[in-house]
Amino acid sequence: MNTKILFALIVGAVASITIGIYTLSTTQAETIPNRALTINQDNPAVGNISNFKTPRYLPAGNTIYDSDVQNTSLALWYSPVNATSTDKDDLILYYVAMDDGGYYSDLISKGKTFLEEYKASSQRGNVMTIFEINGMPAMKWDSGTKNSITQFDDGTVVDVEPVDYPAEVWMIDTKDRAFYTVRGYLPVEELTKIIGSVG
Amino acid sequence: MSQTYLVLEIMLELMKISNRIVILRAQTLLGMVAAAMISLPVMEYAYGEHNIYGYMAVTANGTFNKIVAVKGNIYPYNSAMSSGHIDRMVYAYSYLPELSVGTGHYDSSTIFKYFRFFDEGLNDQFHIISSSSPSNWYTAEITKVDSNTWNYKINGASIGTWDCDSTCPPTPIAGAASLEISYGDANNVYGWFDVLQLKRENDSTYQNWQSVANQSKCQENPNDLGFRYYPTANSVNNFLVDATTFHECTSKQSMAILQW
Repeated sequence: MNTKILFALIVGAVASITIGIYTLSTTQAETIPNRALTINQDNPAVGNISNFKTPRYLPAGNTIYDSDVQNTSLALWYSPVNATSTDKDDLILYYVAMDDGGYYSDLISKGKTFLEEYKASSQRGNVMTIFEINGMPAMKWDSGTKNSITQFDDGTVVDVEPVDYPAEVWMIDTKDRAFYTVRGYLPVEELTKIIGSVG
Repeated sequence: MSQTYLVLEIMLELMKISNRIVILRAQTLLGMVAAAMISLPVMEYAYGEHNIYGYMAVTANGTFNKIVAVKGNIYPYNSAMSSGHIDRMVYAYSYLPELSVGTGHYDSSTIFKYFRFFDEGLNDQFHIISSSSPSNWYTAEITKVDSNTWNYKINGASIGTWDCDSTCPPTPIAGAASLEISYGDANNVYGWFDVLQLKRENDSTYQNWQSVANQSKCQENPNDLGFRYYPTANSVNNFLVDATTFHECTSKQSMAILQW
């Protein structure tokens, strides 16, 4: 065999193996923290996570932290790997509500109209952007600050404090009849990537 | 040309093998995660920027994921804090769109009154303080009147209502919380709750919530925090308890999804 071919083969093999090893070594072992496995042993969840679509993309360094599985809804929380405590800045909430024959049924049927109505009725509709993800109606906003107002019944204001709210993306799948959200203190573009990877 | 093609072919095969390993690895991980998550209990947890003392969060399980009323007794302990305030309340919460409604008492160095709370989406959140003050154990209650309205009650009497911007979303989570926002860890902040009850969409009467006997409550005085006299012979045990270490009352404990 020609020396050039042999050299090319060796280089190719080394490159492929290196890529493989690197990929494996950067894949963190997923483990459910003990704190998520406690309590209520006599009342196991009846929901099944396999009934729901979940994100295929997560920002690097995050892993599953907790879950809430219901018959028609699923909540997943993600936090940094090996986090010993959670802070609001760390957590990512993924939530999907399926057609429940009631509230979400109507909302999903409305699709983009619902998003427009919600935006129009919100005090901060100006920070909400309606757009599309994979052809589906969606809405997003960046994290920000709103007011926590304490007042008497007669309207006399006692105190006003700023409180943070997280960035969020909503997506309505009118075909599969589901309403998705991802929420967290991340750039809204990252959240959009997460929710866009649902499958 | 053919030699180059051969090299490319071989490299492609090697890449396929490598990718296959990665895919297998990913599939194994997905399987592990899925299997573990299926066995998880239903629970709620929190994040935020305030200190939490006492219990929060009960999630109704399974088919009854819509809580339409929550009721509980609260002891109006005045911690005589020097700054900030404490909310002690029963509440209901929805993920999507976000909605929190609650009632109980508002406690600061200058104000010690019943109050009602609501927080909807990106709108400003409100503590509406009533004119009367709690003097003993009292019953705080919120009930969903119709698709648009929640009603707040103290000792059975309405102290106000709140209409959602559009239609109120279903609330799968309810509970009770004692929340302190002064960041004064040295202050004794007690959250005493008694006999929390919930009503789900299909319940005609309130159902008791059952606590977990061996669960740590909070650091100040575990005997007096959390639900003091939880029902031990609960006939209905469909309500879940959060109650993980995640909720224990370390400083700067997080408060969920609830942006008080």
